[in-house]
Amino acid sequence: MKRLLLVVLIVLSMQLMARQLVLFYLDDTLEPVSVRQNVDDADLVKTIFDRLASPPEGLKSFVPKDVLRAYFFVESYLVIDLKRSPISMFDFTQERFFVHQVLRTIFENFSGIDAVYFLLDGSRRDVLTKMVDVRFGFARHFWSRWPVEGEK
Amino acid sequence: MIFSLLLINLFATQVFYGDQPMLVSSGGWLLKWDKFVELAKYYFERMGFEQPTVGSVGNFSYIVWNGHTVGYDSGSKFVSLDGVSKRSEGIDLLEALKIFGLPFVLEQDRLILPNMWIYEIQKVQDVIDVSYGGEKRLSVVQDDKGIYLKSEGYVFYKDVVYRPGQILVQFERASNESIEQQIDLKGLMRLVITKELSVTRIRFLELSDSITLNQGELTVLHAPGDNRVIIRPYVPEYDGADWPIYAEVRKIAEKLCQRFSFKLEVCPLIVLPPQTMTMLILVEDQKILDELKSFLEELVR
Repeated sequence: MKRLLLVVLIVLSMQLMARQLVLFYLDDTLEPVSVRQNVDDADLVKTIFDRLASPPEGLKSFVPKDVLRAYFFVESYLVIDLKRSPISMFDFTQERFFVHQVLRTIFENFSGIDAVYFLLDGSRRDVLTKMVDVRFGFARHFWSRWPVEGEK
Repeated sequence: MIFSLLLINLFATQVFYGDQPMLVSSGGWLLKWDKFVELAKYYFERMGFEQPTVGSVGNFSYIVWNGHTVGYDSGSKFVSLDGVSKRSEGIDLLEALKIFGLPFVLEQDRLILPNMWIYEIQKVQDVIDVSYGGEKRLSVVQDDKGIYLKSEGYVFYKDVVYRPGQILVQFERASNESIEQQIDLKGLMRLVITKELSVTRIRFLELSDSITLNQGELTVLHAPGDNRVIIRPYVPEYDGADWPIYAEVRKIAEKLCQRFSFKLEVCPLIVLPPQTMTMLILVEDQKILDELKSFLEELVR
């Protein structure tokens, strides 16, 4: 009986220690689908990228595996350093929705971040791959909700 | 005593960091080794430069910076400047600064080292970026003809040390343009130019066309796609300076989306420069392009 109580207590404390992430994937029509997942990993940014790269069955993601090179926080900004090679072949849609997925998830899970900046292979660049301008910061205002509105 | 102090001051030479004294020397520009090293390290630190390598072998002490070496042998009293040796009782500051490629200004008995070192001034569209080392000693002046960057200290830029009050650069300014925002980050001064709005015309261009933006015009790029309008969000660094243009573009885009049942997407595309009246329309049925044009023309009329 005591052993059972101990097991229950351990499981409960693990549940309390775990953090719940909200991750944004896409359905077939590129509409966002939010999924809640418990994580106990301390490295939440890396966990977000890992989880986004492995979408649940039936959903899709434009975040490739092993794309995060490094990240750092500067006051209320998050600077994300990406590896260029996994995203270099993105088409126009993939490039935009990669950005939307990552930013929407980051701003949802980190309430203290006001803006996100992207680096590529450690350097500032003009564009992410071809079209998305990454010279400036991405403000919370636009990605604290899905940045696409309206019906088809 | 007072007389001797007066004499020292009368014949003393002084080294300044901009307008702040760093060193007073009674031996002219000839400095003792330790004083010279101390001065160099202090200056590099203030300017945010890489620190020099300092070392010694026997009586020979050396300092290496930016690929150049100044050394001194305290036993034989020989100074070495990039390998060229000569006898000397100390380090000639003027020669050493020249070896390191450090600019300075001589004003009688004062040697002034710049307190701002500008690496680059770049104007990209409506943003002027000044990246620098040291302190920000630059102000912005604007008149009917242009926007000027004026030195407020001893500013080094493109092989010239500018004294306080001198103009470094001038940018042309249109009548509806003005500097609205100045953003200061460490080592970066960013000026944002804003324009007054007045859209009177619409220009339709294919996405592949080269874009020249005209004042007072809404430039609408179009390409085949899934019926959506993409507009640029405002930029956090502009601190609100681009909000009016964003609001205006969004208002037009919303009406367009409402009329044609398009989606409205916010994404900073490189073809939609900040602070410009631009949008991209992705259209499935190319036959409705004329209808789109007419609608927009009617909207801004």
